[in-house]
Amino acid sequence: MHNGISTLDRLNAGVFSVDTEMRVLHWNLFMASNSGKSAEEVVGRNLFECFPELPSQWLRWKLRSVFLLGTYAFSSWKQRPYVFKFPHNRPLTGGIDFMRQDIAFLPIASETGGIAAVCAMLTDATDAALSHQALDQANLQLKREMAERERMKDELRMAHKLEAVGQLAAGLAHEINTPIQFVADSVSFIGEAFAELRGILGTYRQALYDGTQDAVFEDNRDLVYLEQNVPIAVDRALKGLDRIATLVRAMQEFGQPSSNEKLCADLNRALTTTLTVTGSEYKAVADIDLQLGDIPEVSCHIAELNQVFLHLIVNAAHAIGDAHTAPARGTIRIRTWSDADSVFVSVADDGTGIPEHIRLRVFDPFFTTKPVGRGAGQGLAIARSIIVDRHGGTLSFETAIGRGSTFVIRLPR
Amino acid sequence: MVIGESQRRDALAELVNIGMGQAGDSLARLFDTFIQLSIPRIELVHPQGVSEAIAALVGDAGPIVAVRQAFSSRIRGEALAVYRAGGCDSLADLVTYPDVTSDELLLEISNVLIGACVGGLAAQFSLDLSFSPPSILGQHASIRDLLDTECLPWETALLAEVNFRVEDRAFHCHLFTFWPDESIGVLLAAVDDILATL
Repeated sequence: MHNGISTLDRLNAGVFSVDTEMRVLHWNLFMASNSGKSAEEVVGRNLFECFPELPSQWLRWKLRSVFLLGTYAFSSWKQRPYVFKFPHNRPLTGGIDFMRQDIAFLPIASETGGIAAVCAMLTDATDAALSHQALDQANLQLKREMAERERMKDELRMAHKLEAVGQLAAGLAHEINTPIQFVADSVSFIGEAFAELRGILGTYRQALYDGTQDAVFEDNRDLVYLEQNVPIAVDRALKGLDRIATLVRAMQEFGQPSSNEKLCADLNRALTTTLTVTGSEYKAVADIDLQLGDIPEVSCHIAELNQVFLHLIVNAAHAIGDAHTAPARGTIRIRTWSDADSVFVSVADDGTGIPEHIRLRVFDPFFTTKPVGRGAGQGLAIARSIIVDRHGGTLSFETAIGRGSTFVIRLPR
Repeated sequence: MVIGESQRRDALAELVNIGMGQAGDSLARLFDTFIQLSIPRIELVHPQGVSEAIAALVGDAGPIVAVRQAFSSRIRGEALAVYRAGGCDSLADLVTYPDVTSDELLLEISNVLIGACVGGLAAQFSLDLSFSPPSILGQHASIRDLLDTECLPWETALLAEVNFRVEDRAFHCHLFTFWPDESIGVLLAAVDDILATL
């Protein structure tokens, strides 16, 4: 006690105690000044009569548990912002309705061993609560920004995919045009052959009518020619149609919309499909050495992986085109294999190789050494984003000037 | 410490048993229902093996909810209440006040269980403990993700485990009390004092 003020009264925290009948035994200055009721008004009276606005059931439960168990109880502003409607400590800056409170309820043992009273210590948690609130808002903002960034990434991936499809369109038109040409030639030949057959049929009918069929049958070279060549034309037309169907199917598979959920997919099939749609990009400069291993299906976004394969194959073709002068050709070697944890895809070329001074930048967005119109420099950046961010895998490369480059994709099984 | 000394170990187990039993009685009166308590299990654990020890005692519980609470006096320790997914929701009606949220209920029940058990145990050793507020350690978590065993600041801890069930309710709680390093010595000295008076 100093100048009539006890240590408890000097605390910047509320301290009060109640007995088993809920009579107030002690009421410190903090409680008095914040509640507007002095110790003289409260001590000796029932707590709930003095403060009828208190959450009675809740507070009685807390106090009862301390009396019964003889142990501590707690209340946090996070679950119950305030128990007493005390003014907050921000009369100027505001920002909150009432003082946020943490309360600890402590058992006070009697001399006989039971619990005689419960002492409550109330601390002002308003500043912590406001900081927490600001942090929550910042977190929310961060989450929104991350979601927006993801959305923009998705849009960028989609735009890039459309660009790739556009880039392939001219080559594919050529790829489809060639079989269309020989289907048309074959069907035209079959049409002419049928006209000729009708003529021969007329001749035969007349010969049967005239009784001169022996002479006609012996000397019909046209019929022999048609017998030999019509099946060949039909076969060529069917092969052409099959080629067109393969290209269309591959394009459909390649261009399938991306799914938000990963699905199991066969990477060997995806590589074959991508090779089909990129044929016009490499056929003039490179042969394909395809070594597809016995690999398990992988849970993945296959439409996005198709894009990665496309970029690696087209890049390989460009590197070979830059290194070899026609009629010399290079080789794109594609391998797949797996181990206990991962599935691997490698795309190797015997092209120019990547110069040392740009090796660290090849995965940077918008970095390109290609002339305008051969890519915007996003291919490898997006490829790495798809492999690393979307699939938890890795994309690495080895390269040697004049000998070529090998890109290796590792995807978790 | 020589926990293998059978007399000391038996005495410790018995004291834990008595403490927990008294806690069970108090809890039954508080909740006005029958509480089933297991026989307490005691073992020494090291940081590298603590997750495995907890997992072995809890069994295959699937995702769990865990609350921690510290206590101190001459000794310091920490308690861990581990529940199956759903936490304490099945006890909501036993807590007789309205508008209780799931997190508040979880913290309230955990505080009551830990307070009763650790308090009951401390009483056997004449220790007057004070408690810190409980906090949620993990929700929908796996046991192995609860503790970062690389960063635990102790070398050896005495672990006491008891599990609770409440009659006719889908409630199951494993309560772990950890007394690390020097607290083990204080605890065993108290056991020795008790044995000496017999």
